[in-house]
Amino acid sequence: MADVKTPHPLVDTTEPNLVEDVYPYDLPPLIEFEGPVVETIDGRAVEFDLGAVKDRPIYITDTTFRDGQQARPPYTVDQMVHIYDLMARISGPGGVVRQTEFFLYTKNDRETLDRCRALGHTYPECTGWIRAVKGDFRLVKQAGLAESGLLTSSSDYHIFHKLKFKSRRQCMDSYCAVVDAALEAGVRPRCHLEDVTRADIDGFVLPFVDRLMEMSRGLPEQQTVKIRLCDTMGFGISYPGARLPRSIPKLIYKLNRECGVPSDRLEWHGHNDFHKVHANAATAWLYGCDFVNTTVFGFGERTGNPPLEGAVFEYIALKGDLCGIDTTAITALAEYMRSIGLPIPDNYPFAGRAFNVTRAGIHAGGLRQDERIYNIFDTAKLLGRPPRVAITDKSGTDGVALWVSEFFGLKGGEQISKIKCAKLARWVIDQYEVEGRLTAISDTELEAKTRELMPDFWQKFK
Amino acid sequence: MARLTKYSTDEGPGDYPRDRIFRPKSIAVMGVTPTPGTVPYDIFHNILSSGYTGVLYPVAPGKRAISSVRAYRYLTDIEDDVDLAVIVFPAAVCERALTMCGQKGVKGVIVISAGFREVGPEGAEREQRIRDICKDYDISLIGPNCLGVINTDPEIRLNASFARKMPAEGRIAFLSQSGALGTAVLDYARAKNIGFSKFISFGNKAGVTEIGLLDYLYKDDKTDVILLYLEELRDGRGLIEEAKRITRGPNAKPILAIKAGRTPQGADAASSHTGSLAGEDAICEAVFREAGIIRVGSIEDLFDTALLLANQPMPSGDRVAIITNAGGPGVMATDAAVSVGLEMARFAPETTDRLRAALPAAANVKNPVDVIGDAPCGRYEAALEAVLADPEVDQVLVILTPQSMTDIDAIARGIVRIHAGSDKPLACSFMGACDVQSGIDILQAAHIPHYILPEWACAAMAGVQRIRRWRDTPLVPFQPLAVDQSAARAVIDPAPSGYLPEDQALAVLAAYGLPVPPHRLCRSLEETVAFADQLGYPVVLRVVSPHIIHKFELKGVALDLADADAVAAAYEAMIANIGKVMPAAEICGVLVRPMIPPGREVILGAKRDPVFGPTLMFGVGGVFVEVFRDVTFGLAPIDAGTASRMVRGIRSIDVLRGARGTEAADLAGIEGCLRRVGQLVSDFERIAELDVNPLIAGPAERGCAVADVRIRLE
Amino acid sequence: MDKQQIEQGVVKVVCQVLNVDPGMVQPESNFVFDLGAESVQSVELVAGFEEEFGIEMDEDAALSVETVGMAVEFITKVCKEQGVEVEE
Repeated sequence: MADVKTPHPLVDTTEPNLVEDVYPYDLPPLIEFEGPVVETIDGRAVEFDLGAVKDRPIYITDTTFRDGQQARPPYTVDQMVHIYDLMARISGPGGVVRQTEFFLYTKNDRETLDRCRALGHTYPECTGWIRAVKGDFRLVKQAGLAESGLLTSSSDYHIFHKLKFKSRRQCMDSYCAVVDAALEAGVRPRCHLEDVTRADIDGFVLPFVDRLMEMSRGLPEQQTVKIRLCDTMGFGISYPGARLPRSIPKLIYKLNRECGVPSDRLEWHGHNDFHKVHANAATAWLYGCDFVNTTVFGFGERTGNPPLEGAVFEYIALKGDLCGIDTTAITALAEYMRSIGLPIPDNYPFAGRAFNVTRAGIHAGGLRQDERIYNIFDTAKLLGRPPRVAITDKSGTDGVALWVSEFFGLKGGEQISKIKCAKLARWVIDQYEVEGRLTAISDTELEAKTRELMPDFWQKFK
Repeated sequence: MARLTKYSTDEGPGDYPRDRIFRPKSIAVMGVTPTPGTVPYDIFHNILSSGYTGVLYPVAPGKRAISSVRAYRYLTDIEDDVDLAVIVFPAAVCERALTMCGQKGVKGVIVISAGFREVGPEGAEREQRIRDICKDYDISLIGPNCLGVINTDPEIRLNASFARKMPAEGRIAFLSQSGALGTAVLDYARAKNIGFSKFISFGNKAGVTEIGLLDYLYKDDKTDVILLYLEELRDGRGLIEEAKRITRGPNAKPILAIKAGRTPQGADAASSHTGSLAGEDAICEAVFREAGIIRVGSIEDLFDTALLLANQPMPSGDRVAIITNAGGPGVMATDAAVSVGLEMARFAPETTDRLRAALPAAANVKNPVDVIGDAPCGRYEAALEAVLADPEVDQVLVILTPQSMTDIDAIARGIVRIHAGSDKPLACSFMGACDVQSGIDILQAAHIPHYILPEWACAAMAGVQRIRRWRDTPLVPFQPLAVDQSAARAVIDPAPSGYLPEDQALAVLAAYGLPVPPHRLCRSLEETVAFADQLGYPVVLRVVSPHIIHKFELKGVALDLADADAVAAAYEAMIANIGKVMPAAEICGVLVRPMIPPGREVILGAKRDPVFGPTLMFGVGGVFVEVFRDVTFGLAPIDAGTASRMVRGIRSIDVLRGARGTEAADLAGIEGCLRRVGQLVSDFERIAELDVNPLIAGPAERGCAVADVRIRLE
Repeated sequence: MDKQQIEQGVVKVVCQVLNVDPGMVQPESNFVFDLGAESVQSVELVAGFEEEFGIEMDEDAALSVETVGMAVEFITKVCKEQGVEVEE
């Protein structure tokens, strides 16, 4: 019989291969590509070199104060200024978080904007958001902003049923009149193609964008029209081979290559109605859209938007470098959001209270031997949050010993042996067995008990 | 593999040694600790709280009592006899615990503790040691690394397991290799009101194996249906032998199985040819089929079929009648029934008359019977009574959709009343979840199996059908074909390990009656040309050398040589090329045989598997095997029925039957060759691998011819 | 300190931690099989020995000690290594 299998001989070794070129630990796991991706568009095979993203100037933009605020009671001015300040820390000197947008309608709106700008950060740049009404440009100009988003809904759901236009022609003419007014006022228009993943791409979106590109012709670069692709209901699909209007790769390709909208004038704005929000945003980056619009912790209309902190880690993973980003400000931001009453679920990635907290004793045993076994990356360095164990009846002596080491910041050889924690472990076990306790034990209680049962140790490391 | 404690099947159930495990009069749990939430405590606690009817002793050194029960330091401190010891000590001291069991005269032991073969070589050694201790003291051992056993018999009420709650009493026994799956299954079964007779998790099966347990359950008068969850098979032949005995003949009990995972030998098998084509799983499939074990894909299927088997009589045929109060579900059920291989019953004229008299004019009196959405209880009763009485009906499925006027409970009670006393199996599907629940409860209390969807009921009926067909298939004892065993032995016995030279391999096949074309091993140019002349042209030359396996690659084969000049030229080129490329190869000569006229190329393979013994493989050559992996397996030797099933069971059978105007190949001839290969490999243990690749199968009048063969001896 | 004192110390700690009578504790007693130690108690035993004798023991090596007699030997060896005087 013919031997048709590819043989896979065991590569025996006594030295573990920890795949550190992909999992450097002091950075998030890196994303590397091999070979092009082929997407069939209008019957032709089109190759995309996703790996090129490493050298492309991609950015994060933010809409925490606009879309993010639509989902909740308004922030106070102080709160917004504080959040903006932390966002600037995350952004870093390179301005990875490039822009954030503000409402411009009320006195508070304008005060917020003024105070944010007074902090003197170069990035995120402040931009405005208005309805597509000509009179609103006055607000933009008054606020001294160079750019403003304007609503140009693109699906027939919106054109006919929401905005009640009689025809697409009437709709497009109306949009273009507003764009014209913006250009005349010297404000750079950023057209928000609302509900684009339900739109007639060939019948409306592409003709409209063609016309916008035509209007931009001959203008100075900082005046040209930008396009924001708004996946208003989270319908976008990242998979190769998916059909328009849901295909993100095809949508971006058409605008980018057929309408000639340069990548640095394309932005993706997603929603999380189908749990796809982050992957969709990253897909937009990979296929030629330079800007991805986010909100902190994904707070936004309904199911929310791409989370800013998720985009930050994606960015680092794609670039293979921190690029000046201060990831620890994410933790500061999470703490601040909690302090002003915004709930972040405990299991929420990167920011939830329990995102790197291990409960099972067996995992704790693993963590104690090498924290990399059960920690996604060096969360102590990147987020100021070392991996933790929650102490319960299942923690065992391994878990208690690990908690002590971690709570007192002991690393490597300094880590405490479980023998030294025997009394504390006995107290924990008795809590459940003798006292009939049902809840987890808090850090405060454990610290007090450590002081009582291990006084020498406490004196030395407190 | 060694079966430690093989009991004679003549022993009566009363003194059957495994009763010590399943019907113990006293139990000691060794290694109990006072800490709730730990395995050692919970096992003890579960026995205590399930209401075990015998005497329970905790062995807990250093403790006066566990849960107010007086504790013993050592097993040997217990004054009374102990039938069963359940060991929950850490693995490191299990050997001492077992030795103490031996000293105390305990004959049944369950080792719950993990830390044996499953953790690596050190654990495997430890497992071997406890196995030796059991042998020395004649102890029946379940485990280690298992979840324990449950016996729901009210006389015993034993829950020596991790499972918190004892399942309800029932007629189904569940044997599980996996402990974790076991608890999940028990939980699932409780939600579906499924009762068990026994539940046994056998873990690493260091002592008693699934084969021994099957034997026990076969004799257990509380068990009607056996469910088996297996992760690895270590003795395929033994399983077949045992399962065949259980699943046929008087007092036959059906065995349903789920098999997951692969044998440790699977990796080995995959590295050689036969195994790599389909893997061990396909062989396992063949084992189950031969043993009459019905293999199902999921736990859901397992219970769906088991429920019908355990609660209803065996149908006498495939014909099903469907009664429904809604057209759509009736059509769906009809489709489902037909697609799983059931037959829609054609009612006798009297039945149709009775239905017409009892039902409104709009009703459908043909199968599926539609009693219409507004049907009250009486209409269901009349319809059911009529179809049950019809000799053309073997089994019945009743479907109900809840309409506002439907009196669900009354209909359920009516169904139960009418069906009582019938010898035909009945399944019901009351579609929905909330409104129908009380009706479902009535049905289940009367042991009428209920399925949420009619399709599931049909799938369960199909499972039962497989079992009935298996029982109805006559067992034909294996009839050996006439072969010249001594001629084959004369070649094989003196041959060294490794590949047999081609002329010898052909001689072995010829002795077993395979169609080997005339041939001669020629050692000179002159002899080659002379023999070719004698054969007539065209001929084939093939170099014979113990060192050359891949002949084509080394240009050691010359095909379709039309005359003496061509033979001479090919001979010289062949010898010269091998001398250049592989000078060290020892050349025995050149095999000369006629060119075989074209036909379909098929492959016959055989391989000795560490678990299953000699296995056979069949496939159609070329892309069908290599790309589509279209092969079938069997365990050698095979009878005519299996040969036919293997050959006709491949997906590309149409290629052999002569699709699109090509000639049909000699299927009977191929089957004969396959049987002969099977007989050969089972007669000679030294044959590790045998490939006839290809066998060229011409049309029936010309027959088959062996074109190439490789035999590897151990 | 002499060997006998070490033995006495070991027995004392074992009785305290496992809550057993001194009469049960023999050199050949296995902590688990004869004295009923659970896994936390094994850790407590080692901690108790360290405190009793003022020594530090390697965690893995200490936890692999199975019997009282082996513990006496092991502790004697560690005492010597760590400069606690032991008379033979």
